Amino acid sequence: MKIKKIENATDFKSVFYSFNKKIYKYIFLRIGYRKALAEDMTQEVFMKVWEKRELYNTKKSFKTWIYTIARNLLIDFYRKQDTRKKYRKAIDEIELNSIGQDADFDCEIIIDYVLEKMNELSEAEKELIILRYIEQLEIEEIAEIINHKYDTTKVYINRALHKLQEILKQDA
Amino acid sequence: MHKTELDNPKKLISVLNSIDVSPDSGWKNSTMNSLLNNITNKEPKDRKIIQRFINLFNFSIYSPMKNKALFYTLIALCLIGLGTVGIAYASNEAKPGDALYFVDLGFEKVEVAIAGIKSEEAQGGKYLDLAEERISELESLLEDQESLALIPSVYAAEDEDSDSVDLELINGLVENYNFNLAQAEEILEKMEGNKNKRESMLQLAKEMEGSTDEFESVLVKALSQTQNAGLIKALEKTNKVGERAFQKSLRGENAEGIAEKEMEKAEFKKAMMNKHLEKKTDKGKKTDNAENCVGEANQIMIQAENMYKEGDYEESQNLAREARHMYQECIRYVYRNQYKNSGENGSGSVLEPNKYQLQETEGVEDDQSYFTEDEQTDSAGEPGGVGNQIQPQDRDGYVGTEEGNHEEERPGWN
Repeated sequence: MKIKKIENATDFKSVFYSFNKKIYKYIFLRIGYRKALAEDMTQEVFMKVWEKRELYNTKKSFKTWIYTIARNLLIDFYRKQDTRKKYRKAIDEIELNSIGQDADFDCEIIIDYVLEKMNELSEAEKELIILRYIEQLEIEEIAEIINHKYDTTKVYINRALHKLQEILKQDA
Repeated sequence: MHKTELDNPKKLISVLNSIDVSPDSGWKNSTMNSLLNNITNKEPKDRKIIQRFINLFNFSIYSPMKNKALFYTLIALCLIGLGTVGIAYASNEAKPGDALYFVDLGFEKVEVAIAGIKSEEAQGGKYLDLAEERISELESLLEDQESLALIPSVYAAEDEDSDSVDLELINGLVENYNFNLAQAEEILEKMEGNKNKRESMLQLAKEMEGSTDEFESVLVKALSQTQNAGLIKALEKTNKVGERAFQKSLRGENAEGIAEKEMEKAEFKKAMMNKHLEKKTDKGKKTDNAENCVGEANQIMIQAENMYKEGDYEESQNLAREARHMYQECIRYVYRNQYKNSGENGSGSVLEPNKYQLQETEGVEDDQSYFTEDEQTDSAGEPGGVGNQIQPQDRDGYVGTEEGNHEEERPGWN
């Protein structure tokens, strides 16, 4: 979807309806699969989109802009957690059995298993896997969001995928 | 698939690709409403009007206007307009709220005209915006008696038989809403006939489909407060316009896409139904029939989901559509019961209920009624359904007031 500029409530609505699912998914997967928190944070992202609408450069991609807002919000969120450990603990307590509801039973088990194992990746690696393979963003877009060069981003993504494979192999 | 298959990077990527998480459709709509409330409340009304005036000219550092002649003409008009605003504002210091609204209404007409210069889709979008404004005003009118003072009396439709200002205001707002919605749909239909505007038509259809869902939600809520014939007609109209826009918005989608969208729409209706049902249950109203209805609709919805998973998208579409229509019917059950209840005890509306209940009038076509003839037999096969059936005299009563029966769609103040 091509976004020119958000000038009024109608533009804003169209942005919300186009991106709410993507942003919700991104946040939900990154904050440890907590539905209510993901909903609140997604709402906050869109509030920020409205507040910062004048800052959006129409020459650039709106998609990467909105993901950057969501990412910054997540960074703030992590910062507000006392320690990373606390956050990890919260993740560990979450049950994953609700994520693969739409898939068939076998697939549901595999999805929950992969998501559980993804928690063994570093936060940066997990982010790359989510953006590239779950949200299915282009490498170029990810590079812009994480503020790295295209080639470097590509290498990071490959490394993250390789590491996830290793984790899965060890467990199998 | 087995865990060991994840050694294959392609398999792993395909699993990752298949991870899908969606927020509830109920959350989506309530969040959208809450965001819209936030963003509109953050700007003071007078600033909002000035902003809208500036927006008319699409004045932006990123996209300077190409047509200089038009630009300067508009600037001249702007200056004249600002003078008028000043006079209007200064001359109405005693009632600033009303004065601002008056100016607001004037701008609406200019905005529609300017949007028409930009493009057909912009004008269609503008009519939708105006319909939305009327709906928001209606919502605040019914929610908060104090807000009555902020609603301009110019909305009050001329209704000599009515002795209630509130009723006149509701009718005026609803008429204006119907008018704007009809105009938006007319533009959509015009665009449909133009192959070059296919993309714009699809966008407007999607916008209209989303908006009518919201309008419908507000109208149903309004009907829970006041059984007004105009509201019932508006809800009927919104349903029809929304359905037509939805069908148009599906153009170009494949069977899977259509099935997915049909299910999303059915989920929305389900969420809306549950919301209204919960409210009624909280208030201790009888909702047995509606609950049975929801149960049946849920079963159909499960079948639709199963068909989708099996890849039978056409069957999934049909079932989801059936479920959606059934949820719509269930909503009618809730409010049909309420009408009967309010008739018995004379209460049920925040605004002097008896004045807003439908009048029994003759000679009105059934298809104009929110509660159609079919519904008389809907509950025939259900245990205990007799108590909820509409008696013939009731059905005849579910028609409009004299004012509500006019087919002509014009705003009262236009």
